[in-house]
Amino acid sequence: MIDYQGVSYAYSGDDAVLRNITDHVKKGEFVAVIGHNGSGKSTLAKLTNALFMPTSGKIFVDGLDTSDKNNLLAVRQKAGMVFQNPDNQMVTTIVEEDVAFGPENLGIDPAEIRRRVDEALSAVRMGKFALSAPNTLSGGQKQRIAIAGILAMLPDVIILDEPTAMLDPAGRKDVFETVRRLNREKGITVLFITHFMEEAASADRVIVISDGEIVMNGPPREVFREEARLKELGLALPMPVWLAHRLKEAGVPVGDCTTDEEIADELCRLYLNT
Amino acid sequence: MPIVLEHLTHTYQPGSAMQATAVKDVSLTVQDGEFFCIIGHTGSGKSTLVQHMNGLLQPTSGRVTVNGVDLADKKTRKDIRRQVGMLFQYPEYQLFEETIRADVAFAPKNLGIPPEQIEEHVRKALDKVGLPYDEFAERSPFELSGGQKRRVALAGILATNPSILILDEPMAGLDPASREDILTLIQRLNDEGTTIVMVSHSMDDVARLADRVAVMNGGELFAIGTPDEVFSRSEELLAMGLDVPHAARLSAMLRARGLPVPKGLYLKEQLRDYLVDLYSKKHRSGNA
Repeated sequence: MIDYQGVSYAYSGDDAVLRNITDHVKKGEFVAVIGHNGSGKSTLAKLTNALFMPTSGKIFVDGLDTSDKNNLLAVRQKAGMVFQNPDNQMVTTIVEEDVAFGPENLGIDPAEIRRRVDEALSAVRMGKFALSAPNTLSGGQKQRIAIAGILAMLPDVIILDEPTAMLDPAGRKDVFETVRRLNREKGITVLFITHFMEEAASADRVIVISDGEIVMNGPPREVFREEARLKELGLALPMPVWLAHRLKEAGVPVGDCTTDEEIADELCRLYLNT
Repeated sequence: MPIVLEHLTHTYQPGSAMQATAVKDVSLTVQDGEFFCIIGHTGSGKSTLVQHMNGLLQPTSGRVTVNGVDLADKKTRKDIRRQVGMLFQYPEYQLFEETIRADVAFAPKNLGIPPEQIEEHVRKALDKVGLPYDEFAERSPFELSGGQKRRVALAGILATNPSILILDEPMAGLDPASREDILTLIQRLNDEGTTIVMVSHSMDDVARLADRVAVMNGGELFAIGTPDEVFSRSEELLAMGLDVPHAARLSAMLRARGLPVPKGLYLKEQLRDYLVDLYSKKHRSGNA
């Protein structure tokens, strides 16, 4: 679905913030991108959405070259982007109009827009705010509206740049699970940039970026096995992985675990003599 | 220098169609030197509440005093602001000067600290946040990493030598290493005697650091107490859309599956120790 072919990017006159990124994101894959602040994660997101063009190399979204100006609208329709700061994404004075803004611009039938707006709002649990003014919402609520706005466009790919950074735990879980569900049920490909290691642990694949380069790339189970390496990169382990590592060191024969569910299964196996 | 809130109520735009009561009849006291955390879901009134603690907002009814000074008094409010530093969410967006020195000097200058003393304040504040003055003072704040920018913003607050720090989600949006840096820094300030009031969504941080926790829900004070007391009400917290520390969540999951994990394990280290201990006991009795 997304093909990165030796992609580099430099802001004018500066050193490259991304260097020689090569990767293939499969259709329906849920990929988490992690890395320290300033690693180049956000730049990768903006390149994928054709907001920036690669300085060298190519990106193809569903076969479309993002650096071809004729593909611009098609690429952005296929790959919707949710930004970190929701305040920059609100364009109207009523929530449901904001969510409808994208599909309206695509010329979609009004009845279909109505259906999509309702569904998107309920997916982010903001249905009862449909007629509210965005400026009366809290930061977290605004972010959920921004996500609804992208969901309403039913894109092939959703790129989310730290969408949960400002949400409370319930909101964060809500948004993450909504995106995960859309990925599983509708096969939407997801590029999820995050600082929350627990979110990355639930991805199909984790890409670790450091100083503009992909330094680790694989299933969460493999990536999180390398605790020392991650620490060097300014990252940490998801709690269940941390616990499994510590137990193993103390002589408890726990296998690899990445999620709460997995470690709970392992511990039951070990402690309940079943 | 305790912060005392007495029957604090705050209504935005009273009398208009947009009228909204964000904080309802909250009374609490933050003691000198305390590490006091405030939790609550989005829109629960946390931010409104803390903005009363340095007089940025005035109560619709009720009273706020800091060290006995009523913040309704305009004449004394400015003096209190110097003693109560407030760091907003994503404070790095508020950096604006060309050099780090100028940015950090802004607050002390504004609060009337004599010019000849300002440089010394800036130096001390930058040293405190781990950005040595000689190396960083002349650089632009915009060329720093996210974690460093946030430390510059914090230095700007520390430059007025506040005895109370109000922090509204100071770790939001930072990578794990930068989070840890900022947390360690806040903990050190607290160890050195600064009173900390921290709004946070991270229950793991709250469990680890707080002396006491206040839980806001729908603008009201739902609970207040030690982390133990507050997190022992896990079911209620979860029901109101809050989280509990990860170790407590995993413990509950293990209990539900029949493992004898006790309640009251809020830190991952506690859960680890318990499980290691349980395994070795089991192992010994198995061999016997």
